[in-house]
Amino acid sequence: MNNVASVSQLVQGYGKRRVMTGLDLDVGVGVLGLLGPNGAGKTTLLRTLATVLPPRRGTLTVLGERVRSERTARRARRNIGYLPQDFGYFPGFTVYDFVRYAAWLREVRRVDAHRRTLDAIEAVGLADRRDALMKALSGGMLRRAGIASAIVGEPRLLLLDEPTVGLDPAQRLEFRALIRSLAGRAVVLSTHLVEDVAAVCDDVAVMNAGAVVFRGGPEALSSAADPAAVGDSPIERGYMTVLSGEAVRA
Amino acid sequence: MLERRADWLRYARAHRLVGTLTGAALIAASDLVVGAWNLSMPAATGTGFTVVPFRQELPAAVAALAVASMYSTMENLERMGGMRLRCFERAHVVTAILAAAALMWTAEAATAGPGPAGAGARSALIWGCAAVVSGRSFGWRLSWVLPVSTLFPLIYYGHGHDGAARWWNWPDQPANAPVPWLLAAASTLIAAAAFRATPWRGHALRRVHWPSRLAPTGAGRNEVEASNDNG
Amino acid sequence: MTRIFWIEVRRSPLRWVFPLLLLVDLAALFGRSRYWIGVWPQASAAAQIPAQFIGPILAGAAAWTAGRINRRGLTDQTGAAARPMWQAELVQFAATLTYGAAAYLVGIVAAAAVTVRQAGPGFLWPSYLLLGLAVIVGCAAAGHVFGRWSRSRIWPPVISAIASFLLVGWLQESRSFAFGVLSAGPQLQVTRSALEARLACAFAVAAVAVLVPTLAPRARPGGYLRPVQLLAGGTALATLLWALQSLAVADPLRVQRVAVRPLCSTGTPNVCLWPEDRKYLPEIEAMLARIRTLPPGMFVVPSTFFERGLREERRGDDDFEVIEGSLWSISPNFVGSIVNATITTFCPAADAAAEDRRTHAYFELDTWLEARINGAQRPADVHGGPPGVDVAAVGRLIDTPEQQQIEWVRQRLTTIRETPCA
Repeated sequence: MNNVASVSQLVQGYGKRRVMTGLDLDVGVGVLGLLGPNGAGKTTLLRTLATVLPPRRGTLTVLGERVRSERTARRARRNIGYLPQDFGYFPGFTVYDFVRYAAWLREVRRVDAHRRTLDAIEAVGLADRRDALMKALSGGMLRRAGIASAIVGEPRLLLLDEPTVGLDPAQRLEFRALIRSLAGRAVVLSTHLVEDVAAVCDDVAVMNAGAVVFRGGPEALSSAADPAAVGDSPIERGYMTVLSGEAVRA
Repeated sequence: MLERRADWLRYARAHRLVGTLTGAALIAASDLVVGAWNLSMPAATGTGFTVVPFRQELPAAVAALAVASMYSTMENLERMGGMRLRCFERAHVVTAILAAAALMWTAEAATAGPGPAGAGARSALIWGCAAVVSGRSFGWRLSWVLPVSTLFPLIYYGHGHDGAARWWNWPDQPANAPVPWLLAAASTLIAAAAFRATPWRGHALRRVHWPSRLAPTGAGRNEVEASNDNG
Repeated sequence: MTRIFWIEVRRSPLRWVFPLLLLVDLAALFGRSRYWIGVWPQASAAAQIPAQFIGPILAGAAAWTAGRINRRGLTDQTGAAARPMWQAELVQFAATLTYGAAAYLVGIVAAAAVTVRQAGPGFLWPSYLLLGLAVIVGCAAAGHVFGRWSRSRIWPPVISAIASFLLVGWLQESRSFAFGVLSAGPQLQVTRSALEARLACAFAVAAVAVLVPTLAPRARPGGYLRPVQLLAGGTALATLLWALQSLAVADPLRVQRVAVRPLCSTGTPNVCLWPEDRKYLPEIEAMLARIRTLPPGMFVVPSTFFERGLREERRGDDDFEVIEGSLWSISPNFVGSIVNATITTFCPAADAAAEDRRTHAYFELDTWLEARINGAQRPADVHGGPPGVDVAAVGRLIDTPEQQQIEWVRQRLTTIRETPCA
């Protein structure tokens, strides 16, 4: 199945505020970069895909099953890894405890939990720090521990909200390598760093004011660039062009 | 079995269970010293004030703190939890309320006898249920809001002109008074309903009963207000 | 700094709590009683009472607000700020206090607005209002300190709110350390030293809230501690100790007020009141008119009835006091004055039976006089009464023909006067 998750005619909001009205998006296998300015609705979309936020209107489908109740949401969560922008942690947990707790939350089978926890820690390069306390980790290491908590249990849909915030250039390179290694599953990477998208994403969706205003590959975004637009690279200029509404391909 | 125990321990640590319940136990233990102290507060009675012993109000603090242990430092990740987490949470909230009631019962039995002990445990039960409703409404960190908010009406309006406790003033009613037990039963049911009211269930309820609340405003994309969710 | 203050006011979580503060304030002001309307000292005390409930709520909210720096992980930013940290604390605390004081002020304005028409000259007594302010400042400051110092995300608000509530109520019970009053009459006034001690305590806690958090090592990521910071924090703590000590040695919270020129009615008998109680004058004059209709020659009526505190205490045993607005409460004093003036000789009775008869006659006579002066039977909400007297039956007597009443009174007076002495 290529279509791992989708939202259709999604209406979402907080209180009386409408954040999005009638958004459609399909997420397939591969890395989808979600770009957009602050307030565009990226986090709201990720929270919806993660089944944390029920759609006000419209449909949410994960792995072919329409999510419309607590029961179906819980079933879907077994296959979803979600790293919120602000993931909290208990400072007294070790990295192992933290990731293992995430495995437990995702209902990874007890017999597999230990091995999968170690695999996830290994995958983010924290094997030598697995007994370190969370409160003793640097910002970059914390992010990696967070990513480990999202990928533990090998979810088929991985939702990462601004995962590269706080990472230094070397760590960002490592992160990109990590994302590339997650082949065979659907990854949604929300970010405002255009170069991350260019480096790792197969597909790009640009959001603005609660709607997808561009959908296509990184090359297509680069080619949409207006030469007069601001930006240091073709893809940045393409992003700015799309935001200014001159090349809408949604 | 060991694995299951380790899961429990990690859950307990994430929720700082030991610290919070120890705090609740210490407050309950303070009943031994301060339970008989009196508060003199303005009230809508014939005399214009009421005298309330500490022991009547302590269960609010004990219950609110016990239920506050539902708050987790990892709440953002726990939102993705499944059935297993839900079972733990259910056991947790029931244990927290029962622990608060047991703590108050023990403290009161040691200081004032079995009658006040029953009333103290009942108060802890009612306030614990109020804390669950509050936690569900405002977040577990603010589970104390509703129990603390009840103190004003209970103390200010809880007595008639002649100073006698009104029927709904549960902290000031004897253990064998039937109405407070009915209140306890009702608050248990309300708390159970509130506990089950997850965002998805709330959404389903609104979809059936108040579909207009979910309806789009009809605003076009350009009229959509931007969210402040940094997304 | 003013601009930052207004930003803080606009963004403070207290804006969500403000409606609750307002609701509690007005409910506590008007929900308890209305007798205070029209008497400035009573209205002042009534306006102060909500502070005893607003204070604890504000303490919880202050703890929640002050914990924001730890909760949001902003310790480094505030610690590394160029501005002295006490300014940030001051702005946050001032915003919290603004909401509490605003809710309190609304109650004060409401109390003044409903009182001004009936009360005449004068205004709310600042001493009572300042007592309430002391409660609000002290509670907000205590909550701020706890919220700022505790690392817990749960404990500070709930503990601050409940502990403040219990402390305020407990101090009220202790009387000597009470931070509030439940009612007020014009004959009492708050002593200057007691008020100053309470305000000093409240503002000393506020100083601790603003100046002491800067001393905590984790509030200063750089580790620097300037001597002036240490001095300021130390001074705040020392001031708090001094204020607590001054509270312990201060005068009682209230003492008798020095008599002022009373407001007296005309005619004989007449009544002299504290000017602040002028709203009661028409009803009391009606009572005096009923006293003038007592059977002639049977009673000696004093020429003037005084409200308590207007003349020296030893002369004023039967001087009256309007208790919580109830004019029925002053009739026993009127009756006492009349009976004492009428029956001037007294001796122990010859035997217990004679003593009982005389006492019963006194009780019945008092009950009849009370009903007669009030022009009505004892209302249902006035409880108690002399033992062995059918209060309702005696009260009904005032509706019988005057001659029948005179005969009934004469019998009681005879019983009293002819009781054989021991």
